[in-house]
Formats: sequence, C-alpha cells, structure tokens
Amino acid sequence: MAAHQHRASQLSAVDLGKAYGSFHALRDLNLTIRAGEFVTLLGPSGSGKTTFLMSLAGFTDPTSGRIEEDGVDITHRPADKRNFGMVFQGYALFPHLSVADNVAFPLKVRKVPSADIAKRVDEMVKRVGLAGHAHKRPDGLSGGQQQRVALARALVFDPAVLLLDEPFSALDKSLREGLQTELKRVHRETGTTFVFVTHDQSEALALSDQIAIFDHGRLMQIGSPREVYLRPSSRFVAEFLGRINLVPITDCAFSTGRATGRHGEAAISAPIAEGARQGHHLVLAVRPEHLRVGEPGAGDNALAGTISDKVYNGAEMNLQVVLPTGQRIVLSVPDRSEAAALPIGSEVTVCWPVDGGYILADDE
Amino acid sequence: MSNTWGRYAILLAPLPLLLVLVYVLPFLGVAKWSFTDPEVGLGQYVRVFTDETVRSVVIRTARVCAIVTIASVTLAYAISYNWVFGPPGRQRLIEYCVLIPFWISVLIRAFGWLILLRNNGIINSALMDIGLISRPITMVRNEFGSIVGMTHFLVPFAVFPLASAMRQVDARVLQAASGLGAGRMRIFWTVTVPMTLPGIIGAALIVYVFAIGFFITPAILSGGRSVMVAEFIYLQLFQTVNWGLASALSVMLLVVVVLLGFVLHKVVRLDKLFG
Ligand SMILES: Nc1ncnc2c1ncn2[C@@H]1O[C@H](COP(=O)(O)OP(=O)(O)O)[C@@H](O)[C@H]1O
Ligand SMILES: [Mg+2]
Repeated sequence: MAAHQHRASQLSAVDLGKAYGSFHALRDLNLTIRAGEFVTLLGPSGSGKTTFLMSLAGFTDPTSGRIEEDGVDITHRPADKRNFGMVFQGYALFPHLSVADNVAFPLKVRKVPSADIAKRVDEMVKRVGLAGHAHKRPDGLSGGQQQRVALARALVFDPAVLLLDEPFSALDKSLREGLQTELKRVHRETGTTFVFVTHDQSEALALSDQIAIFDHGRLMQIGSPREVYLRPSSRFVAEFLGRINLVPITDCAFSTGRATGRHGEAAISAPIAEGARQGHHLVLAVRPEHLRVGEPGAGDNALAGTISDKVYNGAEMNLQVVLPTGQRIVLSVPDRSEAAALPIGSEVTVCWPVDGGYILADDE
Repeated sequence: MSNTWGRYAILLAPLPLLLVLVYVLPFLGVAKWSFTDPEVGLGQYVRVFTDETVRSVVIRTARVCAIVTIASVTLAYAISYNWVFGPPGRQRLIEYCVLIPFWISVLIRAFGWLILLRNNGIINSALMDIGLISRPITMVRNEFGSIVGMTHFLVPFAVFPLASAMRQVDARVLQAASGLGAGRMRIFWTVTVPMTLPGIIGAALIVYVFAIGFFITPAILSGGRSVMVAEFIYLQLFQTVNWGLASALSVMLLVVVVLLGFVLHKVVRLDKLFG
C-alpha cells in the first residue's frame, strides 16, 4: 500500500469553544493532534466529543477560538473543501447507491478519471474485505459490512485526516474486536491522522496513540493510554478509565514527586499528580490489578483488613477487603492462586509497590 | 379480539355499501350504454380509436397533463425542499401558502386566474403601463390558461408526497456527501434527487391522474378553445347527446386512471408517500 502513503495533517484546537445559547457544549479547548497519530476522544455521552469532531469536519461552526491544520487557520473553511474523511455514527451511506458507487463517490467529486476510479474502488473494496459485495445496496449488508463500506468511502480519496464518530457502537462485541484490529492495521498502512470518538474506555485504551478525555465540554487530560490509565490527573479520569480504588489520605508530607500520608494507622507513599497540593483533600488511587495479598516487600505499602466478599468473573477473582477504617478496597488476583482460595472472613495484608498507586486531589 | 373486529366491521360496512350505491352501480349503467347506444356492439370504441376529433382531444389532454405534471412537480419540489430543509420562518410561511388554497373553491381560483391573465387583466395592464408590451399577450381562452390554472390547483397535491419523501432523507447522508467533497449542486443532483425519486414518481402520477379528470378549471380558463377529455365527455352528453361515445370515453378514462394507479402502487408504497 506504499503507493497510497501521503501527507497526513496535524490538527490543533486553540481556545476552541461552542455555545448553544448559554449552554457550552465545548469550552476553552486547547489540543494538538500530531500528524499520523491515532487520537481518541473519550468521554461520557454529552461530553462534547461529537461537537468537537463536527467542528474539525466543518459541520459545526465554533463560537470561539480556532482550528488549525498544519498551522493554517481552517475554522471557517466549508466541509467540502477540507479533504477530511469521515465515518459517521450510523454510517450515513448513500442508500440509493451500490457499495462500489458509494466508495466511488468522493473520487467522482474529485473528477478522477473513470479508469482510475474503477481501479481504486476495486482495491479499496477488497482491502476492507467486501470483495463480492461491490454491487449490493447498503440495506442488503450487515451492520459490520456497512461499517466497512463507510470506512472504505472515507479512505478511498487519501484524506489527510480521518474522523470517526463511534463507528463500532452499534455492533456486537465480537465483531467490534475484529474491526478494531482492522482499523489499527488500516491506520498503520495509510499513515493518515485518525481522530476517533468513543465512550468505551477499553476501546480507547486498545487503539490509541493518544487519548483525550472529555467531560462537560472540557478536555480533562490528554496522554498515551498508559499515562492516562496509570497517571490520571483527576478523580474523574481515574474513575472513567476503569475500576479503581480511591482511598482518602491525611497528614500528607510532600517531597519531590512523591508524598507520604496516612490512612487510619497505616503510612502510605505514592507519586503525586500535578493538581494535588499539600493541605487539600487527597486520595490514593490504585487499580485492583496492582494490589496483591501477602507479605509486603521492602518499601511496599501495606494495609491490613478482612476479606468481606469474593466475586469470580472468569479471568480472575475479585476480593473485597474491609479496612479497620471501614474503607472497602477491591483487588483482583489470578483465579486458582492461593489468595483466590482464601475464605471470606480471612485476615489479610493488602500490599503494593509505591509506584503502583497515585495521589490525586479529591475533586468531588 | 374477534369481537372487536366484528364491531369495526359493522361500523365500516355502510362505507363500501355507499360506494357501491353511488359509484359502482351508476358506472355499470354508463358502461352498458357504451356497448348499446345507439346500437349493440363495439362501434363506440372503434370511434374512440379512429375518430379524428376524439384523437385530437386525447392527444391534447395527454400533452396538457404532461406539461401540467412537469410544471407542478418542479414547483412543488422547490416548495417542499424549502419547507423541509429551509429555516423555521420560511417553513411556517410555506405551510400557510400550501394549506390556504385548500380552503378556496376551484371556481373562485379559476376566476381569480381569469382576472389576472385576461387581455385587460391585471398582468397585461401592468405590463402595458410600464411599457414592456404594446398590446396584450393572450394568456387565457387557450391552452396556456388551462395549464396555469391546473398547475396552481395541483401543486399542493404534489407537495405532500414530495415533502414526505424529503423528510425520510437522513440529514447525515447529506452531511456525509458534503464531507466527501461534494458541493451543494452536486449533492442536490446526485443525492437529494435520487433519494427522493419515489416521491417524485408518486407526485407525478398523482398530479397526472388528477389532471386527466379536470373539468371546471380548463373549461373556464380555456373558454372552450382547448377542450380536454372530461369537457369533451360533457359536451357529448349534454350538447351533442351522443351518450354512447361519452360512455365509451368514460370507460377508457377509468381504465387509464386505474392503470396509472396500479403503476403508482407498484412503484411506491402509498403509506410511505403520505407517511
Ligand atoms: N444543536 C444543538 N443544540 C443544542 N445543544 C446541542 C446541540 N448539539 C449538541 N448539543 C448538546 O451539546 C452537548 C454535547 O453533545 P455531543 O458533542 O453530541 O456529545 P457526545 O458526542 O460527547 O455524546 C450535549 O449536551 C448536547 O445536548
Ligand atoms: Mg456523540
């Protein structure tokens, strides 16, 4: 596919805002999407992801700030002059055209010679695994197949950017995973900048180079999947990305990049998040899979408690432990491990390395 | 369940009964005349297909109806487009303009056009006053007058199926076309029009069927100079007193209308057309 390698654009939002009357769907957004990256916009429903994507596409007019493509202001450039591919929620295929004609549409618009069109459409249809369906109308295809047509149509003209709005949300889980792998491959092959919207955190973690997390029209954090998962900058991000224990910490003493405080009788050390300040309400954030039960190693944090519940979920055993303070924490341990076999009521010590947790400002 | 059905059946029964009584039975009488008046046989039908006058009336009817259909559907398409996709203020305005004609009688509308279009009417006077023309343009008492009056009457009937077809177009599909690089004109011709094609065909057939049976509007606006089938049947009945020919033409007219109705039913689903 080297023949289709071409320039990809860098996109920036500068102080971008969109208000509907007094309601701000998007506010003060500053964000740079580097050329060729796979960036996911993640957030709960109504957090402004679609609004931002539509502003990038040119279908929504921002009410403040600007959008730049490779440093050029494109805020008010009409959608049909942007040369971005887009996969809509619900696909928005042309119902009156065959698969091949759907895919050919952007090439016809660009007045590509018809011999070229036939060749590129054929290639693209094969690439998304729809050879043999080219003559069918969209309503004769399954959801997954329609999704592939939408992808083919959005990529066939080698756009500088591909925008995708929850492309997999209507598909069932097994199909979704297959398509995720394919999308990742297409991204590698084309080298195009991908901006992908989802409200599914595991999808975001699996696919992205960068994840931008939105809430109430604001960008909460942007970083690599590992950064946002392991080093969330706020309680919202920590909770949104998956199960996490949030344990209140008092009497915190800060040193460089790290703090030591107390929960009940126990002393706890952890790295600190950017927004966390001495004297504020602080919480320790630690994911269930980073905790274990047993003897703490040198320098490990440790909390003593009692197993109060056990839930088996197939891959692992989730133990709920009650601390003397009444705080409950959840840890997941491999099924068939010694810890998983402990009965409810056992006295245990929960421990984890200092770097396994993270101290956050308690913003709620 | 069956009880409810039974009750509905009783409530609905008078309707088909009424239809049989006031339409089907009288029409069977008309059909009988077409084979018996003045003598038993197919003579009147042979005339329908061979008589020069009948032929010219049929051709004129077909032509006028075709022109009226094209004009009505084109105008209705523009109106529906603005009704469905236009800004809210414009949508409201169009609602009134489409609905109000329904409250005004055919007769009044025809005379209204007469006042506008005749030689000393408003349009000709205005054009002469500003010096654009030196003598009046004949716009009524000819085919043109009929076409204008009929088109005006039929546009609203085409608006409903077209607007309904346009409402079924997913706005995101139009957005997608624009995102793929298509300008407004291209989107209109390659996406909007093809996607509303069933509505266009439906509207055209409805207008054509209505137009074929038009009587009052062409009679007033063409002043008997551009006689169409319906008026011709009337003349055969009440002036020439050739009931056999009138009946044969009526039967043929019904056959054509039923055929067009059948095509309409095949091409588009009626419930979708007005849904
Ligand atoms: N045209 C509009 N008018 C008023 N409010 C809107 C409009 N479009 C979106 N919104 C509001 O903006 C917020 C963000 O919407 P959206 O960007 O679609 O969220 P997301 O895609 O993250 O679910 C929502 O609360 C939504 O109700
Ligand atoms: Mg959305």
